[in-house]
Amino acid sequence: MVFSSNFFIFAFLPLFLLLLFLTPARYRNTTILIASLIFYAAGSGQLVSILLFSIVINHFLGIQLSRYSSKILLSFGIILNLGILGYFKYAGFFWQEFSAAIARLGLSTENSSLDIVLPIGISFFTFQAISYLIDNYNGTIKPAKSLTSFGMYLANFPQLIAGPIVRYSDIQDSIEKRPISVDLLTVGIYRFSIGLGKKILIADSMGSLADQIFSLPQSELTSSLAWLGIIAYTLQIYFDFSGYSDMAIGLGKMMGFNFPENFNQPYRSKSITEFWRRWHMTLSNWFRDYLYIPLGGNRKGRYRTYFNLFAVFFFCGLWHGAAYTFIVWGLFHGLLLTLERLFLNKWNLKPTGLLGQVYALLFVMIGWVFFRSDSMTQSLSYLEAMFGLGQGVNEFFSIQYYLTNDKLLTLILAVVIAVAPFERISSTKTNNPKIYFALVVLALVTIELAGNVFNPFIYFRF
Amino acid sequence: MSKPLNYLAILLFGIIITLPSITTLIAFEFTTPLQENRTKVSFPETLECVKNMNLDVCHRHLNDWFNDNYAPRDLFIKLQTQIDYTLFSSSDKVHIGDDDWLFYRSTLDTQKIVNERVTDDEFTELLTKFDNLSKALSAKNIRLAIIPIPLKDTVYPEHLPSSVPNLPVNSRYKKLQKWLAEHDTIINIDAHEFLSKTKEQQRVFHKTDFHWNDPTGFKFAEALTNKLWQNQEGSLENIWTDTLSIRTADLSGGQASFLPLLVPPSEVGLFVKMNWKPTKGVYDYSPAKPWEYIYDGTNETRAKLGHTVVLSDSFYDAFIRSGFEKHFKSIHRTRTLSSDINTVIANMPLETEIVIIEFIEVYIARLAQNGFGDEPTHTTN
Repeated sequence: MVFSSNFFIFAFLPLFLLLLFLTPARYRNTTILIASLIFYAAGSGQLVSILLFSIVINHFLGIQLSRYSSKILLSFGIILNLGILGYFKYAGFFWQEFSAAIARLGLSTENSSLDIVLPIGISFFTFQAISYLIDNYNGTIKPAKSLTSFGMYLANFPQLIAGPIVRYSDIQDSIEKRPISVDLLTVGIYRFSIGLGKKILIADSMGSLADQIFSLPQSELTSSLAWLGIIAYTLQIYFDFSGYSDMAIGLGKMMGFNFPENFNQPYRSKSITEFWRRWHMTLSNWFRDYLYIPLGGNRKGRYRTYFNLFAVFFFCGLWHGAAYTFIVWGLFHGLLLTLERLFLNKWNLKPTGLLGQVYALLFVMIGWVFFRSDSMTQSLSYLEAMFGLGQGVNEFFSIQYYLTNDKLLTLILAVVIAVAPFERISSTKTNNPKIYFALVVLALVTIELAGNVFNPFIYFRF
Repeated sequence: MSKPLNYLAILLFGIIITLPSITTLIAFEFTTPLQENRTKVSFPETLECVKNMNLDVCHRHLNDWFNDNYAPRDLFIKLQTQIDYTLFSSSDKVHIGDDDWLFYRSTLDTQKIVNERVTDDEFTELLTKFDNLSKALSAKNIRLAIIPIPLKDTVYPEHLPSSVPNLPVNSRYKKLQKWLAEHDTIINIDAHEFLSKTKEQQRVFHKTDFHWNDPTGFKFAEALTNKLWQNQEGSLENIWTDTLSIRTADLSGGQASFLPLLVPPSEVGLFVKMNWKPTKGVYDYSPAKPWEYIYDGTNETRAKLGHTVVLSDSFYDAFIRSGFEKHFKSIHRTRTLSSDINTVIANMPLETEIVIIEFIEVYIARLAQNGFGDEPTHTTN
């Protein structure tokens, strides 16, 4: 189930909120847990058993780690979680590569592909579980008081599928007891509606533009179209992802939680280093705290720091998907961060001002080419087209074809919202009537969603 | 913000998210239902979902059902279309030309592009196949008529909006038409030229529908009938005697249903007033495959043209409404949607004297890329 579906907005959400508010406070975690499991099973079916297993085993391990602080137990917990993630997310990819390598040697394997269905959100709940175990081991948190409480935390449906990655420490004070106030509810409605608007009114519109251009044959991909395509995708991925985070944060507030912020206008960054302080902040913080710092961070010399950056971004790329394009995207960012660090260390140079913003945005967009492409071949030919090295000629589709009045307006609005230096849209206060603006956005979204399901059949029978 | 305003906001939010479900439960009808030419998704078998524990499958089905059936859906679709139309003059289903001429996006943005992406080799092979077909039929004294028909955007480019794809002037359709004109063994009428001339006298396509209008179909049927007769008799005499009488009526065509505004787009459509005697021939609407119907003109005195097989699309329907078929001894008709050329050739009756293949220009890609269908195992039955 996705937040941006009619069924979620008009059926699941009202029913859930009604039940939540009718439930006595001490049973609300149970209501949230059951709703979350139904939400998950609706999208993943019987794979909900993986989530249930993760809840039970990590709850048990958390309690043991808080008692014994055992390195062996922690290692077991981390390996188990990563093993499950590795099997479901990466086994197919590595097996395919292994089979291809074997085939190149003239040998053949009977099954060249593994049919493993990826449980939705497994990357998110695995990382949450690992942070829970490590924090219990370090003694920075107390384990959940009950299986229900922990299950409610790990399976919490607003952030289960697309984040933000909520650490137990972020919400531990509100797990057992939390007020649901009118103010919090209003803020939640505001964030949810704005997030939905970002997703439906901006991201989906830009997404259709990007999809059309990325699907063009190489022979028709001109430089201007390639740039339009990547600009559209750059906006799509930001508004889609940050929209989902806004919706999650908003739903969390409706339940009485304060989930951490995940985006802070990342396209305003003046360097790649700053970009990663503003983009998917809960993931970069997770990697910083649970991988970069344990590897030694920047405390073990210059070259070790560079290595650590590469290692972190290699895994960051891999976390996003089991494909070379994601790995290259991660390494590309690792390289840029290393270069920025090198320039800073050696010449005390760092990108600033408008030039820095242009530099950061340009390289982020180049990175998105890898992220969006289906293969490395497509990435490279797309980059060639962007920089005028491709063979594409403008045969059928001009810029004018793609940039219809509505798309143009959406693109301009999206750019303004993404980079304009006004108070960021993720403000947590609604001390003015902007909630009513958000409700207008919500009304527009409901209308737009209907348009998405209008699917008449052409009946001219040729 | 004051508490009352907070409460009001929460109330409004509650109304927005609950109204669709509540009105669905009470089966409230907000507006006249939209025409979508398909069956809407039915409510899932709840017991089956529970029994098999397939919550994901059940949810998918429930989601599809909800998307198709929630009460304010059609009103919201109309509002969304109206907003796009009023503010941006755009729609994601149709191109909106000047004076509200409508053109399917799927045709212009996809099918015509696919047509133009047909490679030179594929196109040459298609021409060779047409040539071979005409020779094979000619050896059996069967005459072949091939009639590709240009679409509304080709005939009325002046009404296209600027946002349509750039299509080459010398399109695959034009190249095929030129090749046909150069081949005397194939009977053909240059439909583009014919329609371009006719449009100086009357509108030839509906503004809100995909098809040419019936008066145009009438005129084209007349021209084709006379051409077949002249070819059969080797004379310049015309066989068609009916005169065209035009009536007008309000029309909101098929393309208008793809632009569901609060007030649907409409036009004054041109239609044919029937002023001829209906045929005495007999129609069999339940023949064996691949035929859609078989017309037997034995009792019809006006039936002077030979036994004919027709592979055609819905543009041919305007011929039928113009009394075209009364001129034939018999007609076996099938559609391009359900049959291919080889199937028609393999199943045509022994007495066949004429084969008519009529198709709209975007069919060229299908012919070029998928061929004429499976090679026939026998030629007649």
